[in-house]
Amino acid sequence: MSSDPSPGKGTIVTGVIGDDVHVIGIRLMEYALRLNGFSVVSLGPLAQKKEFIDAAIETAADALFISSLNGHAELHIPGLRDACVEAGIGNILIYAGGQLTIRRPDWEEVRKRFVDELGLDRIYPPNVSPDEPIRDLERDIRARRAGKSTKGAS
Amino acid sequence: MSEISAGRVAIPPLSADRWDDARFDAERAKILATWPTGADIDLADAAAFHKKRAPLTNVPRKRAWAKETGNVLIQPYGGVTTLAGQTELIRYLAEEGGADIVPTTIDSQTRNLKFAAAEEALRASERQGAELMNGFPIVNHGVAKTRQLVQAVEVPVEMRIGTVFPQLAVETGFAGGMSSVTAGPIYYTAHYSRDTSFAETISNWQYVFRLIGRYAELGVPIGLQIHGIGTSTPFPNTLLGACCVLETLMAAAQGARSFSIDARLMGNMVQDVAGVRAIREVAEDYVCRRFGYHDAMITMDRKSWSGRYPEDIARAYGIVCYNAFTGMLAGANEFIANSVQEGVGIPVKETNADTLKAIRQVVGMMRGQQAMLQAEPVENETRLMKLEMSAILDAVLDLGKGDPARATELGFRYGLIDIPFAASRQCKNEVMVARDAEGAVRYLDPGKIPVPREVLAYHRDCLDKREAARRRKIDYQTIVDDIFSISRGILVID
Repeated sequence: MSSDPSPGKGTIVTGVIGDDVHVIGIRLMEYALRLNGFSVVSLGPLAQKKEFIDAAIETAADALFISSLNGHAELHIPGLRDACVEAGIGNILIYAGGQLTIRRPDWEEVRKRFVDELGLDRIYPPNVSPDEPIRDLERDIRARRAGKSTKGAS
Repeated sequence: MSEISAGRVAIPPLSADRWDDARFDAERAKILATWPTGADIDLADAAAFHKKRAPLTNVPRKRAWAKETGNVLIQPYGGVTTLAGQTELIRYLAEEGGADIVPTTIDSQTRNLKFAAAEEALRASERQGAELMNGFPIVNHGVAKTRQLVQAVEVPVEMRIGTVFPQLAVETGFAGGMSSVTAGPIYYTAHYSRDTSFAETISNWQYVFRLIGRYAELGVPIGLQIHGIGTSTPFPNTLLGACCVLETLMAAAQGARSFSIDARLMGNMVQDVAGVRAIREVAEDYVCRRFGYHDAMITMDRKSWSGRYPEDIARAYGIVCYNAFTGMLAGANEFIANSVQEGVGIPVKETNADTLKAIRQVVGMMRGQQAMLQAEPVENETRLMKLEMSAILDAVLDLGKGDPARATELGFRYGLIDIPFAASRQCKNEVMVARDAEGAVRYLDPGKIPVPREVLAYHRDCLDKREAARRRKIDYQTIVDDIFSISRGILVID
């Protein structure tokens, strides 16, 4: 699970959104991102929409990686893409992972809600290995830097 | 927060130096004015109240007595809203459970300085005859009621308060006759707060430490239970030990002298025994010898597993008894006891008391048998843990030019002190651990922690052995499995 850090692979703003304090998932994700050569800007637990955006602007980030375990992501993520557009970073990659909804509908239903309706790029259910989003990030960041839109790719 | 920050002056540059009287008195006037009950706090009157009480109702004296006589103390957790409820609880824990020290845990409104909200919840609890808060709102109860509480039992009371704003609650507790408090600035920054800086938390806790110094000058010993650092996942006890030494040094500089230092259960017997021994030796070395606090009293308390527990009470008894057994082998002076209902929620007092009886049984059978575990693996682990703690402490103290407060701030800033899975932004979170084949916690990646080469090589070797035994690498799923393995009932799931 190691690979040599190569600078410039990408800067990712991470955090647990809303009123959630469960950090195990995002800390593991951050660890995996660093091991794979990404630069991580960690907001930690209880991170608000505005903090994600401010941090992304400040660090010229390639992506936001949002974690949620208590399911309140569905209360805090609506409006995030629009807020990014307003802030002038409309094409930033937005990933989310964990337990994103309070009820537990089919994952396809969750994907529709977060990706098709709310404008996130990709979401991941609990218990996915960090390797999977890392592979996606590498591909999406390359595409984004080449000027292509990735929105809806998954 | 807002209630106190309004009148706050600029904090002087961070230093562990003893506060001068002018700084303390000016700060104190402001702290006592933040809620009306603060007006009832008078140091001379409080000291007189403490002195009227029997010697063994005082936490430091009780800990000193136990250390001298070879008795092992047991303290549960517990705190409810109303005076009647808390009185009933600590009486039951002392009389029925045989607790040697009883706790009073403070509620989260008080811990966040929301005294007006606490007042409402307290009054609603009293009206409804229900315990609506997650602890005892001590500031709203005030000094007189706190004195009624402590006088309801013949054992001493330790205040338990996880906060970066401890001042007024602690003032009320001490004036009300409580003679110890859980601390301190590193633990509560890393574990209970996301944004608060070490500079601010250290200053807030230095106030508490200087208040303890004032009580000492009036002939009243007040104790501290030092937490160091910790999370609810497995972590090396060496990180906890190094932070305990820094917190103890910061407290001693202001005049505190009685320290019960934590060591935490992680599940591997060799490490669980070595941890208590190594932290005790390093703490005594740095505090009593290198920094010259010859009159400091250090005892070791063993805290149980702080992660997830099984919901099944019968299985939780297994953890409680394992903790008591290894704690006794290690020579712990005190047990801070999670109840067997930990996996379910806040325990009822009967179960809490039953847990204490289970520990008492093990303590009674094990007393005098510490010499049974002088085995080579324990000696080796103890030696490596001491080596590592000294390396961390020397590196950060060097960075802080010998000042433990600056050492703390800079040590965390540069990642020389770190801990896996912390909530705080003050921690770098670059360190990662996994269990070895026997369940001992080892560095998978030390981040920037200055772990000596010999220690790191040994840890790598232990992890290699696990990988060889199960014929696959330690991966992310292994790290997650190791976090929840105790609650699942098997320490190493391969």
